Amino acid sequence: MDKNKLLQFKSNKRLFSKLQGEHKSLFSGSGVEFLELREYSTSNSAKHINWKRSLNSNTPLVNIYTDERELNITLVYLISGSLEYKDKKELARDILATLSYSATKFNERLTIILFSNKVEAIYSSLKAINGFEFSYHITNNLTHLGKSIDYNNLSFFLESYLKERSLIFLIGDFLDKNIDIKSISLKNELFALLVRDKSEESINAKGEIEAKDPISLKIERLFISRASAKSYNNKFKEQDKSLFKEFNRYGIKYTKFYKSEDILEKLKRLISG
Amino acid sequence: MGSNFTLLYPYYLLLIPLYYAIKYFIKKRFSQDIFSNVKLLKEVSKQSFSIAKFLEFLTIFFITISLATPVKKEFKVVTNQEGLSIAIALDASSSMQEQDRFKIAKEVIKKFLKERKSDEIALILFADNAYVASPLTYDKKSLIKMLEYIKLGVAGSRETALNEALYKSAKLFKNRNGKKILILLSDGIDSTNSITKEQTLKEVKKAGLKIYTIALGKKGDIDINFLKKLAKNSGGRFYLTSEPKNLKSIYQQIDKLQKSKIVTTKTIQYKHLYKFTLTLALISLVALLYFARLSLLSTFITITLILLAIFIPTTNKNIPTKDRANIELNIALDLSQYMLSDDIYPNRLEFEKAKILELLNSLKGEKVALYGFSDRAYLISPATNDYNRLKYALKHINIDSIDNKKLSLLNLLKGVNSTSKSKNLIILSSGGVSKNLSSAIEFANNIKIKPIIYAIGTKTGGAIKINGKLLTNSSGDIEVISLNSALKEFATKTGAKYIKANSNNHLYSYIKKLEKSQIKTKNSNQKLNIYLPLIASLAFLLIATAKRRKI
Repeated sequence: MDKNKLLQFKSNKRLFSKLQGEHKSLFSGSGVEFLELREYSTSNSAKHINWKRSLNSNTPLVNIYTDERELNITLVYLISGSLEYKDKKELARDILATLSYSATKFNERLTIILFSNKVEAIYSSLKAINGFEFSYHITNNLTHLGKSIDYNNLSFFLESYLKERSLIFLIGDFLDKNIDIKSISLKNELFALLVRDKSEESINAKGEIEAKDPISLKIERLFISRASAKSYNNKFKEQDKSLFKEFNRYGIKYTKFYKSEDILEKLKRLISG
Repeated sequence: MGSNFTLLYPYYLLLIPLYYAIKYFIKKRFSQDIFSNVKLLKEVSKQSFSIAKFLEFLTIFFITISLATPVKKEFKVVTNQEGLSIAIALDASSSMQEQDRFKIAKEVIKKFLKERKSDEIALILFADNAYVASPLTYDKKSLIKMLEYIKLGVAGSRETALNEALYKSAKLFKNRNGKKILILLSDGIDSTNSITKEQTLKEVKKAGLKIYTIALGKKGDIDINFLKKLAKNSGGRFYLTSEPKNLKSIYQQIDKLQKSKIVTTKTIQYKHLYKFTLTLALISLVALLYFARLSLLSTFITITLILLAIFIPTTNKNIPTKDRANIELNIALDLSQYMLSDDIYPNRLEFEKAKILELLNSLKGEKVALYGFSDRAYLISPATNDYNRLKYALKHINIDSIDNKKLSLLNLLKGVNSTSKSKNLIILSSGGVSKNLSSAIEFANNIKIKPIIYAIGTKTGGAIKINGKLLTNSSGDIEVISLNSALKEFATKTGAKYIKANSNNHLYSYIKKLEKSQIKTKNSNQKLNIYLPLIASLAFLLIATAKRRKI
């Protein structure tokens, strides 16, 4: 509980404040900013009739305001078996919890999607809840082993599901090769939060090992020599490099999270750019 | 000699499947580690995983093979011919001169001796009296040589002491267990009457001899009835011939009739090979350690245990008699006339005999060959662990056996070297008088023999009494023979063990030391202490390899 309290305390600061100005809604609503005058129809509230102007033009006119400046925040938790490695699952959950706490505390429009190769769960229009506790609740009994992420399916789903421009946070370890999420980034503000462990990014010679693949669930008998360890480390770096190149190209903001790092600070830095 | 490889305890090989079974269950119990990016890991680990598996298998294989105790079997086929004891009594009276009888008989006997390889043979000559030219011996060479030297008249020439010869022959066989045979050749009638016919017959019967009698000459000259009776009573045969040329066929017939029984015994000697297989196990383990990143502590313990098994001494506290029989001791008795010196009570020879007797009483199955030597060496008894026989042979060495003044260590070494493969030589000697033993030293070093020298005699020395007379030198003074100091020099230069004789030191204690070193090098049938550390090493290897390594 101590950890949770600390997290809650830290996320008291408004995370998304800086992003507010950039996200004006094009739709009319009950906001404060005046947009235009329109002829009164029965659907309009009588409250909004601009009497002064109506008298001049002899037609009832109503004031139209921009919609409220609310942000659409979509948190996508990418469920893959590889999160079962070490404390990555807990780290991913903490990130999700921090973001959703911050979003719900300041009444942003929050959607949480749990996604593997398909949609596992959608929690939309979350308001007036404790996002922190909710995140813990929904990820608590989640099965990770044997699951992998279908990024094409994810792109396709988000495109069709999200009608409005959203801030999308993808929380996952991004270990797959050739991850293609550029189509999501075109219409939305996309953030990639990489949940990583130092020991998976760089390995030493291990000799004979038996490792369980968390996705295929097969036990692989492998032999890791010094040369193969070196090769692994290089390939891993290259894979990340090409991934980040893609991210940069499409304006996808990204950062890596490791265990026992200050999640909030990192998020703030990422969001504020 | 044949050899092949075998495992003494092949059941230990079952430890291999057991090892893998245990490993399987251990691995099954612990869930395997999850690694997040096995895909990439698989991509990079092109190297065959089987190297480590193979090395692990090799290590286990060699350890279990060592446990199964690999040995090189060496079959030693010992043809133990159950030799006979044959006494050849030869008439040496003057009548044998006729028709070259004596000469022809000698040749025929020589040939006969050559045929009887595994028998011990004694030679008795009789004329005026009967005397034992050679007691029972296996040393055919010396017998043949002796025969060559024998001339008519050595035992007188006028009479024929036939009965006495029979009587003495019967005495010769005392304490002999095997078949006893006497071949008597005579051309006359007993003329001395020193012993009566009845007494002779009785003595011969008591001794249990089988007698072949050969009468050479005309019917009237020979007591045919008596000879016939001798042969018939004892189960032998009687031959009569007037032609010395027929002797050959007669001896051939006897030779055929008295085939010695040949008993072949196979003794198996094991040469242990576990040190070799354990070294191979160590090599594969070290290679495995390089490839497989084992748990270091367990691997270290495994290596230590294997090393322990290699270097742990084998126990051979109780060497069974069977093993001792592999040890052959050559004991050489000084039979030169210096041994008659009385500086040790009663004289050196008796002391020497007593010491050997004492040794024979302490031995536990070792084979002993007895050599006598003066200026030449001859085999008194070939290697045997029938100590009674040896004791008997020893008992019959007396002053009469001492025939030569000179003493040659070199000839002893040569003689022993030619007849025996064993390097265990115990020389009991006074060392003679020769101060220069360099040729003997050189020879001993060449054949790498390090004898135990038991020096008999004192510094002050003693006089020599032969036939009641004290030995004198050329100027007529009594010769005093002391212990030859050159003997000690011989010992130091050949690396031999030099022991000064005294009634308190027991020869067996030195032989025990000798045996200990030999049993160790022979590596045969000892109790190995490798099993416990090796089984433990397998267990630690299991821990070392089964322990999960986190990635």
